[in-house]
Amino acid sequence: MESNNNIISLKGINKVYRTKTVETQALEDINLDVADGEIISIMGPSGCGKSTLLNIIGLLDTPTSGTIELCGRPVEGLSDKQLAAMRNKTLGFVFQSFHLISSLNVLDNVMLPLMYGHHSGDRKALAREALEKVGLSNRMHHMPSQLSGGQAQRVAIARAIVGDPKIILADEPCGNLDSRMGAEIMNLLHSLNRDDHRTIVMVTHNEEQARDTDRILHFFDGRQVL
Amino acid sequence: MTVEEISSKPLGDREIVLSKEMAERYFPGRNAIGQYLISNIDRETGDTSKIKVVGLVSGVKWHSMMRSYDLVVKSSAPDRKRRLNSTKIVLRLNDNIDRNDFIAAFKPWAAKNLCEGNYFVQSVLSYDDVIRKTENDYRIHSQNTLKYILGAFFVVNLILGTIGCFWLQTRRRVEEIGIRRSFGATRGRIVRMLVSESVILATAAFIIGDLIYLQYALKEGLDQGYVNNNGLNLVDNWINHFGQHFIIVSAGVYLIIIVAVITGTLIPAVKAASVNPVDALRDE
Repeated sequence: MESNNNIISLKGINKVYRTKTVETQALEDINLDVADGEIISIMGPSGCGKSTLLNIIGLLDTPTSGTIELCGRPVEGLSDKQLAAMRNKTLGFVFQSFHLISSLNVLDNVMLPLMYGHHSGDRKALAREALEKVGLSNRMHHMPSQLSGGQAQRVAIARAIVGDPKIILADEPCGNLDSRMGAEIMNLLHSLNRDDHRTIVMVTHNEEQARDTDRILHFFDGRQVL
Repeated sequence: MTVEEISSKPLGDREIVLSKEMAERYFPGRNAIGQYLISNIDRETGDTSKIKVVGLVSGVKWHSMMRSYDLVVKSSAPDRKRRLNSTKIVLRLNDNIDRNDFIAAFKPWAAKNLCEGNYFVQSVLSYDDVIRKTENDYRIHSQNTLKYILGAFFVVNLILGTIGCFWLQTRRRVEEIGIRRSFGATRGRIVRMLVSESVILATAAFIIGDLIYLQYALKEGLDQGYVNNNGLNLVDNWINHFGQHFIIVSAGVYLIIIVAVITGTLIPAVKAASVNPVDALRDE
């Protein structure tokens, strides 16, 4: 997709995992542009490199070669502190296993990204607002262990959006949910894309969910095949 | 009151000289001289009696076998049966005389000149030797060695236990660290958070433990000592200057705990913060 308002731009991305005896090519010459406000899904069999690509876009992992630009800014050579600041401001993560901190209540979990950035406004008010958006304002003082899977994932989405990032990266967000809850989560992600104009990159195994996105990227053995 | 003054002015039956610390405890903020102490049991009458404080001494040098004792100088009726056998003559040397030289010269002189009938000088000892002999007689050295060994054992246990506890606690939080790093925490921020949490936790535990110890010490009267059986209703200190002792020991223990906690947290915290968030959050 050619566009001059790309919010994510990957050029010639390669990722190789090396051990003493084995070299594994996880990603091979990936070129990807994602426009601002787009929602795309990445599909492929297990081990094809989907999550590795998501981690590289999310600045959690570094490519062996290639360049990345987020919001028009190249990330190569950024320090750990600069990468952390960029993750905090630009990116929101939704994981398959929710990854809520079990010792914190819902409100504190949602407030987490606000602790690490220079966010203006009342942190609690912003967290409450995010929880209201995902329909869980009545659960803000519950602990993660008191939530159902769908509720936990909605808390995770509230946490992903509370810092108002432009990009949301979702790694199989419905992978641990039944179909009804999965549909609820997908509706929520679509509304965030549609109403808030957030760019969403989602890894999924579910073709039905993928069909509802703007674009589907198919991966196989570390290469983009479609 | 100096030693010479006490020597030159023998005390009456119901007169007593106290150390300044002791006087301060019995007569806080007042001049103790001229005040009276009540003796529980008078050995002669079997009744209580009043004993007058006639002097104070300060600058007492404490030795291991006399530590914990308040200094009291009181009159003592001579016991003719035992007195001659245990008579001690104390000689005080001028500062410019070498003690060892004096003893070397005094011994043969005393053997020749300080004898009368069946009585003679049995030994000549320096004051340090007297202290050392008394410590040996009371097994103070072996008791102290045992106390130091036990103390060292508990300190090593405390340090290793604290380090191990916080090490495990930090290692268990790798997933949380991965989550925090995903949402913008830097490595330094993670390390600071873990270390400061541990320090706060240790400080809270220390304050509770220290207050329990203080409560125990006060309840048991360890700050004041116990009533001894020397005929006077006087107290032996459990420890001199309990307030200072409590503060210094508490500060020392807190320092040890904090060093142990920081050691136990910092190393695994740095390691955990350096783990790639991808590995920390791996589902498989």
